[in-house]
Amino acid sequence: MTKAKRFLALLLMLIILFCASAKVFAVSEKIDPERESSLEIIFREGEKNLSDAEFSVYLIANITENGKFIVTEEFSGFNVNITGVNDEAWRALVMTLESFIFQNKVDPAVSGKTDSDGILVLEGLKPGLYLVIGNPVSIDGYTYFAETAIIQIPALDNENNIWDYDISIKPKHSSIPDLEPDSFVTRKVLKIWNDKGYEFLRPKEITVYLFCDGELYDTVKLSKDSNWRHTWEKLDEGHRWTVSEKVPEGYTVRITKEGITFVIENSIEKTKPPEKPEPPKDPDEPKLPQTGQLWWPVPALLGTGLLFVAVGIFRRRGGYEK
Amino acid sequence: MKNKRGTGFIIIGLILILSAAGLSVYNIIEEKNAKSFSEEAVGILEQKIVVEEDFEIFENAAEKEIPDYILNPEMEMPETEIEGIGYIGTLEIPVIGIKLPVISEWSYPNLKIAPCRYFGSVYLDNMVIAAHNYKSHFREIENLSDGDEVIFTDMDGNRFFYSVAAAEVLPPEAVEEMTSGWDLTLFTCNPAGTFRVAIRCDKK
Repeated sequence: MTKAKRFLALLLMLIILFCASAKVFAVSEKIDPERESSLEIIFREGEKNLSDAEFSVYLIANITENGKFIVTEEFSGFNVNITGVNDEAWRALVMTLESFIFQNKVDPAVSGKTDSDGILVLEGLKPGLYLVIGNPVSIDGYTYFAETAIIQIPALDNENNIWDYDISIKPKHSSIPDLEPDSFVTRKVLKIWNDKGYEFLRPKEITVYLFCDGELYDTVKLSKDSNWRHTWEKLDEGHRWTVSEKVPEGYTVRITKEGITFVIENSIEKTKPPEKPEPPKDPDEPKLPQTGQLWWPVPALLGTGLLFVAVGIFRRRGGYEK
Repeated sequence: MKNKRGTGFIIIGLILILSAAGLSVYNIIEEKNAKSFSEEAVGILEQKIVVEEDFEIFENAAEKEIPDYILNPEMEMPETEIEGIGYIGTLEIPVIGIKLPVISEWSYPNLKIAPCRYFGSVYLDNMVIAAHNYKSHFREIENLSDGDEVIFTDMDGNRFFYSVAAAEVLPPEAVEEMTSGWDLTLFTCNPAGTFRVAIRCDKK
C-alpha cells in the first residue's frame, strides 16, 4: 500500500462529504486559504458554564480557494473507507479519525481550556477541515463528555452568502454523576472482516490499542482463536475510552461504537490482487452423513444363523436318508 | 459324512447367531457411550455458558451491551473445547426431554459423541444439525409435531427459540435441499439408514 493510495482513499471520502455543499459553492465567493481564522467553543449545559474543559483541535485537511480539501501530511497514512453523507457516516468518520490521532500521537494545531464563562477562543487557525476533541471534565459532582466534532473553516454564512472565517460551535455533550471511586465500565472490541473471497489475505492476528482520554492504556492481539474480539472489564468510569488498530496491509478501516462495543471493520481495498484459484471440487457426488446405527444386519444374521442350525440338526438326525 | 455336514451347518449357524449378538452388544455399548459422552459434555458446557437474561434497560444507550452476533451476523460461532473437540452450544427439545451438546464440525467419530453442526450458523438462520439415531440423541425427533419448541443456546449465552414447522424425508444425496431455506434443521437416519429424516424449524 503506497501513501498515494492511502491519500486517495481519504480524499475520495472527503470529496463525497464536501459534495453536500456543492450547490452553495456555485454562488459563493472564493475561499482565501491563507486568511487567519478563529474558532470559538461554547461549552455549557443550560445556564451552567462548563469551565476548565480542555479542547484540542486537529487540522486534517487544508482547503483550496475552490473548496477542495488537501489532506495534511500527517493524515496521508489514514487509510479509511467511509462513504455517504448520513449521520452514521459522520460518526464513523469522527471516531476513526479520533482513533488515528491517538494511535499516531498527532499533535493538535492548537488547544486550550474553557474559561469561567465556558468559552474557549482559539485563534491563528488556517482555513481547513478540523477535528475538535474535548477531554472529560468533572464539575460539581458530574463528569461531562464533549462529543468529538468535525468542522470546516470557513463556514458558509447562508444569510449573506459569504464565507465566515470566525466560527462558533457548541459541542454536544453527555454527563454522568460522579459515582463511588470503584465505579467501572466494560468496553468490548469486535473485528469485522469485509473481504469475502480474499480471506487468505487476512493477517493471523491484529493489534488493537485501548486509549484512556487519548493515552495508551492497553494493547491486545485479536485472532481467529479469540473470535476476533476482546472484552475489557473494570475500566474506570469517568474517562473517554477509545480504540484503534494497526491497519493491516491492503485493507481500509472504519471504527464505530455500538453500545459498549467498538466495531472495527476492515475492508479489502478495491485494487485487489489476483484471486487464489479455487481447489478442484470433489468429483464424487456429496452425500449426507450416515447417521443410523447398524441394526438391520442383526435380524438377518440371527434368522440365517437359526436356519443353518436347524438344517444342521436335521441333517445330523439323518433327515435326508430314505 | 452327512453327520459331518450337519455339524458344519450348525457351526456356521452359531457363528451367525454370535455375530448378531456381537453386533447388538456393540450397538448397545456405542449408544450407551454416546449418552454418557453427551451428558458429560452438556454438563461442562452448562457451567461455562452464562445465559444472558433480558438486557438491562440503560438510560444511557452508550452503556447498552449489544450481542456480538447482531453487530456481525457473519461472525464465527464461539466454541468451547472439551478434550480437543470444539462445541458451539446446546440444543434442547423439551417435549421429548433431550438436552444435548452440539459439536462445531461433523465427522463420524464426532457423531458418536454428540450431535454435530453439519452446515451454517445460528446467526445466519441457516444452521443444520446432524445426529445419530441413538435414543439419547435424535431417534425421537421423528415424533415431533408442528409447534413443538426447540431451543439452541450458544457459548455466549444467547438463546434462540424455534418451533417445529415441517418434517421431511430426504434421500442421502439431497445435500442442497437439506441445507437451504430453513432457520434451523435437525436430521438423522431412518432405522434402516436409507433415508434422512429432517425436522424443519422456524425462528420464533
